[in-house]
Amino acid sequence: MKEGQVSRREFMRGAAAAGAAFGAFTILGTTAKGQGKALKVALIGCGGRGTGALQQHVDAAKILNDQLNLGVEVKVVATCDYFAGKAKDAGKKHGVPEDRCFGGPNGYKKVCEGDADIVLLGETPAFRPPHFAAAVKAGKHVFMEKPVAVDAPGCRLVIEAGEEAKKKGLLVVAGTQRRHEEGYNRQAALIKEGARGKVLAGRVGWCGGGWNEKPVGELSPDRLVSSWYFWVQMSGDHIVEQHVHNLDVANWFVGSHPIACMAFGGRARRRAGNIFDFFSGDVEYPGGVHIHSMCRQVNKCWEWVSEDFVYEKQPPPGFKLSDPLPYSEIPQKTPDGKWFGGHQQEHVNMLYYLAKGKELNEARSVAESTAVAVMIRDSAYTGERIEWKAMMEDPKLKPELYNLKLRPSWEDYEQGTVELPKEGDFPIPGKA
Amino acid sequence: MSSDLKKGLAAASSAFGAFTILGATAKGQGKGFKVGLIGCGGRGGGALGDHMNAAKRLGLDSKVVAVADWFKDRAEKVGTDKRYDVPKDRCFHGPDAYKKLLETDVEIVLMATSPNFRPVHFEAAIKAGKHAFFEKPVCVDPPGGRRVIEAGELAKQKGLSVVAGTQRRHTKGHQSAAFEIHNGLRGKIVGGRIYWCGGALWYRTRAEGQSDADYMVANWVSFTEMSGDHIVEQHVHNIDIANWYIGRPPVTAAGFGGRARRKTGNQFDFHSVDYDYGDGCHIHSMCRQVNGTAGAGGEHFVFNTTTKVEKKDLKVPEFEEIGGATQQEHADLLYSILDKKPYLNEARNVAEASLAAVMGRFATYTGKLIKWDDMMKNKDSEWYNFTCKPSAEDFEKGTVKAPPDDVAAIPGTA
Repeated sequence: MKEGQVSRREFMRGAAAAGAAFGAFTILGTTAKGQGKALKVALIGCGGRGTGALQQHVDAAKILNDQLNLGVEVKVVATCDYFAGKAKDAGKKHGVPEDRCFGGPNGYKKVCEGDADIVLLGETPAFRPPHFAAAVKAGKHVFMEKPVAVDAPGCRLVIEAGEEAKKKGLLVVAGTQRRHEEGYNRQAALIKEGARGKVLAGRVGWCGGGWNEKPVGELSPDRLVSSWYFWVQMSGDHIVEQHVHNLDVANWFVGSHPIACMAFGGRARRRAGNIFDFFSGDVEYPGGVHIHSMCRQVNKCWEWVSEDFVYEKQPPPGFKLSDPLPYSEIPQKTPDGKWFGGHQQEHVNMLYYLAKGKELNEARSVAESTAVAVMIRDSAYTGERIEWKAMMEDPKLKPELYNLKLRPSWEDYEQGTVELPKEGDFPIPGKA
Repeated sequence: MSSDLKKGLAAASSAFGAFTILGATAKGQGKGFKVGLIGCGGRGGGALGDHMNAAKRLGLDSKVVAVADWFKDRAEKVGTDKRYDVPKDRCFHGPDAYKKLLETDVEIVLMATSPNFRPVHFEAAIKAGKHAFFEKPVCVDPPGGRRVIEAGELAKQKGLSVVAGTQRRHTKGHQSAAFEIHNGLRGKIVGGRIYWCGGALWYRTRAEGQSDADYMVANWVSFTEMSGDHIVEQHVHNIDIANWYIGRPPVTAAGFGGRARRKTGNQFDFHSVDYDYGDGCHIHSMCRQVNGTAGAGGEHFVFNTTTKVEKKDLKVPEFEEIGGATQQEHADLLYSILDKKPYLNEARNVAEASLAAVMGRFATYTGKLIKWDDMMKNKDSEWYNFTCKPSAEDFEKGTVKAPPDDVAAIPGTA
């Protein structure tokens, strides 16, 4: 950050507003006095989404500087991936020295020991809970991709670490980017301000084409990670990995996580790994609100990616929101009027909030959305009706459900105790 | 009563003789109807018992005069039951047994073979001037469903009463609810869920040397071509309620389903369907026949209570319910025939419920969004013309080739 480029007054106002709770920023503020200091960012998980997120993060700083003259400078200081080569490739693009590009299942620990202010988490979902917990423990601000876990214990770990982040005044932004899109925020605000009455029912879906993938074939711990999408232990199945976006909107608009679900699913056309390619379930929320969740990855089928809710009423004519929309003070469009889109916007919002010392913590919301997807998945896998309380809250009700941890887990990877799943060995609900 | 109907009644004079006598003279010596049964399986035998009990309660001295089934032993078992005592030469069997039965002096025909035969049987019964009780579902494909609707219209013209085995339409609870809903007392239906999720049904394996046709008839609940799949065969009850309460059949269906545990035939054992009823109203239908899974049943609707209508003077009528819904439906058939209650013709209702279920099955089998109009109006649509093979005609002509066991539909493409 060059002298004079930052609006120092704005900078200090942000620091003051952040107060003591905003530790990292205060540090940034104090050390930055007079000379300016870049925000150091590290990326864990250098696949397509991870490197995409990093680029969007870097671009976000430029957007804020161009449009608001915020003087935010971002410097990539470390990368990490299960595969060291990927970490190096990603690092190279951003001028990260090779000795700051870490590989292996424990590489993330080195990133957390480093001097990054912000860590972006884009690794295989199975690894997200320990990555997030470690990042929070090390006092990093976090952007983490969805989903944030593949099982209930993982979701709970993320919720716990999220609470810790709150105490430490750390920013936590999740890749459920609909929460950063104006259209969604407008609808949420209308609901919040009573313009739509109650949400009575709804449908959420991510029904698209198949992946035309080949079987993974010969398997090793490494191959399991590189073909992560097709293994429930790695991705959580496509309902968790992809449909979580729509389920997140349901939780958001209904205003709660669900209380139970009953779902069907199967593997119609898929050839790789052990995940299903369709799910359809009834998700029950408090107050008798039911949402039909649907997702599919099969070619030449009905395609529908959306969320559709039934409300008591239309907004009254001439209804005006009393509060400004969240993030409405932040640029949302390019100078020529194109929306950035959620993927970019979430990083713009994050850096803006960081610069302004505003609080944002999406750990619980994304962990709960992930847990809903896990719940629906496990209902479809088993044929059972699953209750949120038993899966997430009360260990005594159904310990086997509450403690259900998919293996191989991240611990198995860290400790080298990986037992490989079998391709095509997927669950069949019920009994013969 | 319309003049058409009166004409019809006159035409069906012999049948209505009974009513006149009953009405004019007295209880105790009341005459009854000549009753025939096509399809002597469990439900058929049950329906016959229900019908005869209902007749008795109404003071009618009805008599079973003929029975028919694909299998000789089945026909004779029911026919020769002491309660009915049908002469063996009136216990018909084989592919054309229904024709022989319809040639007799039978006045009311109960139909309960496997559903694939129903359109042919029903149409033949109406053409022969018989009052009809027919079990649900009434078709397995769109041409069959349309045929039932047409025959139902013919029945109207002829003044023939038609009651279907969607017995929820004859329970107090459902009738009261429908009355309230249709009068706006609960507000508009804006969503809902309907379920028939239970364990596996019975099934039969092929007997040594058994012909394709015999095997399919004996194991009909496992073959889509015979039963329509369980979404049609069983879940139709719940779909019928949705159609009834909402007041129209669905516009489209999108669905998800599969075959998890079923052993014989080619059906799925679970379906989850999003029915779009138009005007923003979607119904989530779920049905399953898999052991060791969560059960669920019934129909659960979401009302927008802000649209409720207050009608203080409107009283919900007292609906009769004698001997349970499966007896009440026969009582209601008899009331209609006897002109003691308004004319009853449920052909369209049950055909539309069956067709909606067929639409759901198309959706789960193919993964596509299926449109009602493509089944009912658009003659160029593959769904309009979709006929399950082997069809009822194949069974009559002896050209049945059974599809392979355990080979089910797979949605989408590889």
